[in-house]
Amino acid sequence: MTYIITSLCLRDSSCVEVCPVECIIPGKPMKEWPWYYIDPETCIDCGACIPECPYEAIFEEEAVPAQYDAKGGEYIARIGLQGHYEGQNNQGDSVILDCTKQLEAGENIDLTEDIQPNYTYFTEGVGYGALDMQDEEVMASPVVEDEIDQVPEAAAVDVVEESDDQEAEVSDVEEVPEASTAGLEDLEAEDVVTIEQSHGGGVRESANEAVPTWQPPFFLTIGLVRGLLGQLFGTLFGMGLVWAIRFFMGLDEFWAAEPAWVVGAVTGTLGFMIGVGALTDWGKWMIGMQAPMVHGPPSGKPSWFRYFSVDYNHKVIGIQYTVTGILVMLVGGSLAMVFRLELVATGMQFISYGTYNSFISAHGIIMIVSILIGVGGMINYLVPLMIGASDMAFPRLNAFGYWINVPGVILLITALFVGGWDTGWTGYPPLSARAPIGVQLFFLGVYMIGLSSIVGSLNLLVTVARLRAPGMSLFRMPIFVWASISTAILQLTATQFIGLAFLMVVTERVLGMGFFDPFISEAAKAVGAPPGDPVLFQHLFWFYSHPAVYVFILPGLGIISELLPVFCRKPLFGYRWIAISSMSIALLGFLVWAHHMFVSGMNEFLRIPFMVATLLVAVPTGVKFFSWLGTMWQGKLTFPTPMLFVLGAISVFLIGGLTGLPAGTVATDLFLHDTYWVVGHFHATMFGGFVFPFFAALYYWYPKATGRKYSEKLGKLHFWLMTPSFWVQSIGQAAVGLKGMRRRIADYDPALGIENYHFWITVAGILIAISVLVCIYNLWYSARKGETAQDNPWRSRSPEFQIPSPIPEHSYPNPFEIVGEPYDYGLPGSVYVSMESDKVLE
Amino acid sequence: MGVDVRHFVVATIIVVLVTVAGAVLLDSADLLPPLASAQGVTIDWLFGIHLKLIAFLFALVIVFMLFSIIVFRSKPGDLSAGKHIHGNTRLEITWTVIPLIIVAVMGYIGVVTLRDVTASAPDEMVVEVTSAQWSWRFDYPEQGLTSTELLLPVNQPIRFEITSTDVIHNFWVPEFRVKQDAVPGAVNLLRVTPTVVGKYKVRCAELCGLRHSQMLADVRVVERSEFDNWVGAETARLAALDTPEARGEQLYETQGCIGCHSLDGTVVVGPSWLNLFGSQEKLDDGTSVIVNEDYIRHSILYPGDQIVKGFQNLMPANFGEILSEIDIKDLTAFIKSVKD
Repeated sequence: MTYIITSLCLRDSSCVEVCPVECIIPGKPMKEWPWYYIDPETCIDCGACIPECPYEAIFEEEAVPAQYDAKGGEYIARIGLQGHYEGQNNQGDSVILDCTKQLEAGENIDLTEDIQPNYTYFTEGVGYGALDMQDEEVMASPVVEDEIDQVPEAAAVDVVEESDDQEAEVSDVEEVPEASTAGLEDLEAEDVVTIEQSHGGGVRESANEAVPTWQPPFFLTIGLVRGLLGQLFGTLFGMGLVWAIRFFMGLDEFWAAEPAWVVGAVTGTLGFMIGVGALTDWGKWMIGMQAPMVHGPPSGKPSWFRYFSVDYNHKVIGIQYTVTGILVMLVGGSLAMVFRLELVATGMQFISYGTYNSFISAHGIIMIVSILIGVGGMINYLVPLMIGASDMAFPRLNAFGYWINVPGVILLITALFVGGWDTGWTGYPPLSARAPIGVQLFFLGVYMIGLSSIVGSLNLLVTVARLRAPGMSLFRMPIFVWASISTAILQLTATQFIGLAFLMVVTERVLGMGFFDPFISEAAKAVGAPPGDPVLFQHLFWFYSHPAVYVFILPGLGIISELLPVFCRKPLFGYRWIAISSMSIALLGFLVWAHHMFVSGMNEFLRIPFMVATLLVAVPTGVKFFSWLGTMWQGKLTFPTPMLFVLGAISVFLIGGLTGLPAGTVATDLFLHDTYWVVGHFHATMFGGFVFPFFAALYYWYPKATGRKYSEKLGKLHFWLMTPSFWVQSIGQAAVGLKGMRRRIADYDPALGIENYHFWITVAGILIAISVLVCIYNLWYSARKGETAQDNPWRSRSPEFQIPSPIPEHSYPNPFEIVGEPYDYGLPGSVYVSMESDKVLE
Repeated sequence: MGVDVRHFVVATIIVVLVTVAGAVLLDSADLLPPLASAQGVTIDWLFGIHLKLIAFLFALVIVFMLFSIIVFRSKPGDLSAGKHIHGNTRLEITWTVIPLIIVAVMGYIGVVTLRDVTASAPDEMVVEVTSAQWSWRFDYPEQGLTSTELLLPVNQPIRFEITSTDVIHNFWVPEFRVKQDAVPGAVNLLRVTPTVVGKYKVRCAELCGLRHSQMLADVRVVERSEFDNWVGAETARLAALDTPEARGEQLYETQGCIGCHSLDGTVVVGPSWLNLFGSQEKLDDGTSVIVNEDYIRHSILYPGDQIVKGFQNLMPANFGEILSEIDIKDLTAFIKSVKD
């Protein structure tokens, strides 16, 4: 489409008169959405409408001014504005429109804001269909909510002042219902709102009954707020339900807390999802209503609004995931700070055993969740951009997948306040079968977050399978996409097992199903029930939780492979080998779970195949390391912050990998199992495999996502604080492990002589925490005050760097075509993507 | 010799030097606790090999990375690209196959060492290890003894038969190197031949709840003659236990009561037994009881029924299977006797 009607339009229909193809359509609802649209499919770009427009509201698409200097006196129409326009159209009919404002001379307006609604009206919105559909679903419902904080006293006065005129003037455009005059006697705000509503409703014949008579205050329209309230009420409802049922069953202790919490956790999560609106569209479909995909920022809301509500744009969801991941990481990290300080000296300083155990358990799972959410952030934001998809294959499922994390995290945090739990994040029964109630909320929280993993990975796999740009064969995908699908395959096929295992313990606790209970009751024995098996749980648990480790690191390693060629100005060495190595790690990931159980008492001979499979993981991992070295060799290396984090990641992941060698061999693991050696090992693996690459990715795509530069100085400060500290921390942890420091102990024997080590580990931990705060400050400050970023600051060949920063709502104006290899840096004249649409059409 | 080859040769030489330096450093560092078992010899030997491999692989990656960072860094303002190389299949196959061979060798060594570490001996002595939150009990079926301290004759192959009465624990003496989970409902085996006389500690290495960090037991490896003396003395002492109080005290120490109930008034996990008998206790349902024979018996058999206010229901529920009626009477007598 060449022409755009902007919000300067006040629906004078002279343009309609001259249009030869009838491409100009009035917006719906007519009152609040005052301007016309040009249907891009029908418009023949004749330009006849432009000179006819009395408001000079029609522009060429490229020429819509972001800085429109008002001459003064003209009106602008926009959802959320207060005020009226009153006048006649060229047919002599009088028009009264809400949501208008008269501009003062020199006032500066961004007209491009309206382009998205203009587009989406036809592409994702209702288009022509709106003319005879229940329009309130598409346009009116946001509109009704929009007016919340403007329960308009000013408008009310307007109504009073103009009511006489209205009676007389309003003719075929709108009818003022009786109520509007009836309510004028007194100026009670509620009455006025009612008037406004029925007034507006009068315009739309079909929508009258759907318009609520009460408008919630603004904060209640924020999805997150409604979700939290939904969770609160859902939880109370579930608890009440349980108590009611138990009461009517005549149970003595009908007020028992545990079953109530369990049911409340489930209903609370459901309440959150309903409240936030993640289920709304599906609900509408179920009862046969239309729920079109609406893209773009909600009109009349502040720009942050969409990030706190259900939004279907993958970039918004990606940022929601990322920011949530960072916040959750802060929670988990703060817990670590507490018990790290406790460990500086032997003896208990300021927390109790119970608090310590709860904190290490919560630290473990909350960090894992933050990593899962961070992985979701990177994948959701990047993969559709990289493969040229306009969005994920199932945007609603995508939003569901994000939002289900929030009640899950709330359950995990709530667990700390209802007694905590002392089982570690592994939750082994029988310990977890007798832990405080918090363990139930931990299990159910993880269950919800697991749901997110499953639907998210399903969505990703379909997206990559179906929505790649023309020419993007599997071996021309950016390497991060390979990493993402490896991760998604693991998530989709393994997550069920942890959900299953945890659910079995939940039911063991509340329903007495003794799956893992070796001491079953006499009654159960009498009917021939075999005793439960605690080791079975470990198999189920690790069948997910080992692959989960690869879920965390594969995207991170993908980031390393993705960024290295850019900062080495050299093709990725052995692209296909790296791609295949990701898939091999994913496959091997399923065959090594029992290496966590070398001392568990499982069948002894099983230890050998699991040891060999574990050692085999070194082979594809080695391929990655050597290929990275091959990429750097003879490159032209530069070292901005993202590259520093990539190099830091390699060094830290190396520590993680090498410490895995003795831990993966049975004989040495008999010594190392459940010591701090293992703690050092997996922290290095997680940091090198996820945290460092995640920060690299944050800095690397930050200009793309925000359109602004981060502070390079603070970025480097972050790196130089964090990296040496981390080396100290993980080597220190490994060292105290060898000295005999067991995992998960609140206090250690002074005879071990490791207080010094613990002091330095704690100092390193604090420095890491400070460095993360530096990073957050940098990202926060730069998002508002940073310099404007170039479109392609890193001279990347990747498609997302060939479009403007920040990336427009619909990332690519035209589909692109893949015409070369992704990482052909240094090959003169080669390009990866061709952005010219005509080429695509050939 | 071209520049490329020279770079490679220089980097390779540095790798060798750093490997040697790293291996020497790791070798000389005092990383592990003292060794006190025959099994640990194998483990420490294998760990030494691992450390050398770690030194080599660390040097390989870090040296090449640092070399690239220093030698191949871009000059300021230089926007040109690096050498256009896509990869090298021969090289990729090389660095796939060589690690495969290393993995095969390490796998073989892993199997052999595991065989050595778990091998049984013909003259094993059996020690039954029973763990409970948060205490250890050691039964010597051949000697007919029970102890909370683990006394072992030096150079005697021991077969530990490890179990748990509640949650999963882990039997680990760092100086012996090996460890084994204690799983309720199962008996797991662990073979250790202590080789050095000395005092050590059993340290629970599997998170087992509140006082996991304090779940320790003393280990004494002694000469055979001293062990025999101890067996004789213990047998005589047990035979001499003719009062219910003395038998009760023995049960207190061996059946795990000591893990949670103190005798000096401090609250560990459960109520202290000091001046407990005859006192009036408030229960968590608001009622109160006088602590008498009936209450004690009921609380041992059904610990969850009448919880004293301020305490949690953490006591194992299977004492009914472990203790006889006489045992309970003895314990009650002992509780009666704990007064200041």
